[in-house]
Amino acid sequence: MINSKDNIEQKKPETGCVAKDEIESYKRLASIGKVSVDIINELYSPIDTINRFINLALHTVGEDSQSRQFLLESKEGIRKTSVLLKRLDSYAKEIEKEISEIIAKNGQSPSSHSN
Amino acid sequence: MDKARVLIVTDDKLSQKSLYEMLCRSGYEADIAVSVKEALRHLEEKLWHVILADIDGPDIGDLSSLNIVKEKSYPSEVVVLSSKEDIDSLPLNKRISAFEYLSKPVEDEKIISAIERALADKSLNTGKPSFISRLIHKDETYHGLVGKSAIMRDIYALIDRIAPSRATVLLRGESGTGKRMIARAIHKADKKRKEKPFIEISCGALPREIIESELFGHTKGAFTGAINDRKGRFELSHSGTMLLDDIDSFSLDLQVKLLRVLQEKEFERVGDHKTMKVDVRVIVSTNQDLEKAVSEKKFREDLYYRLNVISITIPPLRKRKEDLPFLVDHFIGLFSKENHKKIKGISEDALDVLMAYNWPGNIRELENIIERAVILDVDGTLHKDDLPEMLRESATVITSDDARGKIKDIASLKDALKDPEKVYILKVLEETGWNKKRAAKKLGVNRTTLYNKLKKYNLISDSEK
Repeated sequence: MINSKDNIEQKKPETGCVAKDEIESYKRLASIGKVSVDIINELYSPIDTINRFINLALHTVGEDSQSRQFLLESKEGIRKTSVLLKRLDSYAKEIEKEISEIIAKNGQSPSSHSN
Repeated sequence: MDKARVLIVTDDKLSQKSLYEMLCRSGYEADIAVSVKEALRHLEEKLWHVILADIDGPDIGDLSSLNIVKEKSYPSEVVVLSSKEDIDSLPLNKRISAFEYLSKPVEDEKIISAIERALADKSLNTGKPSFISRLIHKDETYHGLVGKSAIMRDIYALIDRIAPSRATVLLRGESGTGKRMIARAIHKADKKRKEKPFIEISCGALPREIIESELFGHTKGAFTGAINDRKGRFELSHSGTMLLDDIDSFSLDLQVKLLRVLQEKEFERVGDHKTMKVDVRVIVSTNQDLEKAVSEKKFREDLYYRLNVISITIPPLRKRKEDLPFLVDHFIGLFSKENHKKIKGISEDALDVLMAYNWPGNIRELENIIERAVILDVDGTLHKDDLPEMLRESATVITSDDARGKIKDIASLKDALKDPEKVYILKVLEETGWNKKRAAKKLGVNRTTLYNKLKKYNLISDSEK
């Protein structure tokens, strides 16, 4: 992901004006960014639910049981996934915003490729 | 007490089931509406205190219809769960006037906390007379609390709002600020509980094994010395209020048990398998930084969220000195009666001394000083001479030259304050024959604070050596 952002930075000319074919590429990238944000948001719901079910399951197992350990490890896994998604989310939003700005500067509508 | 009712609105089956189970387990009456349309039908049929709307599903319907809750003044609040981080990113038909937006993934404790705050907030509209109207008369107190400063009036207003709810309350404040009095005021302000027991337990002063038995009770033979069945404080405070003082001193395993009582309202006596149900409003207090304890893993995060539904920070006396004359009047009245004396009041110069003092021991220290002055007084008015020498000296202006002469090799303010504190504690301990309860009272601190200070200064009596 970081490499693709660097590519955008390199391609962006100082004046903010870019060639037509590049604009089309940016539009496609903006569209991918938007889809990524939507998918990430869709993932939050099952993560939220799984976490809640793990909490419920933790109430039903003994304090020293092996199942408890497995559940706590699952919970930690879910937490890490959630942190990664949040990072990806903010990165995708940043890219989407940046590309939309470039497209807008060139007098184009950023939504033409969006779903 | 009736259970608070929460209506879950979501078209996602997994979300429905997980939220329903979690809320029922946390002591709420819950039901599910699969669309906004169905939720509105539920609202027509029955009172729902909180509507918990998970708005991510595509088939939930036009959420703006839920604005009817505000428009028609339903006695309900809406709490929204969404994958989107902010309201602005929501489509227009999903933007509603909500008590709180929570973005997913969200911890159960945060949902409970939002629900409890919503419940507490609704109790605002109960049509009760304003607390300010009860303070118009000069001698009136607010459920035993003395003071009319803005900061205290804010606290009274908050108590008025939270008293009818069953929300857990976290009281923070320095030692001697009156956390116990605030807890009692919350109990007295709660119409449903005020006639029921108010039980308090000082967690810091008791060893772990005793606290467990004190809180949950025990059965005969549960441990050496358990010669009879004994009810715990939770059982004794059923239908009433329980104050857990110095909650920070709770061990981690006891924190798990407390969390269970708060969430599921059930527990077992020590040595017994029978589960007991209890309805208690729990108030906890601390003079420590609980957030720090959480970050250091000394205090459970889930318990912290559960306790921190409503937090009240009680100001130190030095920050509400305008209340000092009222407090002085109050204590003069109290101790005159107790000591069968007729004290008219306090002289201006004596009051000046009290106003100039910094009150590290807060109201408890003031209480002890007025009690002493009332006992010593001979002419019916408290004078400067009736106050302890330490107070009179602290009110004396020290010139910078004097100060320079006294302070030579002290590295910091903290170090400068250590020696006088140690010497004074030692003096009081010797006066009280090392009776820690009496010494703590005289010093205007609680016993836990005194024990901590004894440890800090390595103070032990001859008999303990």
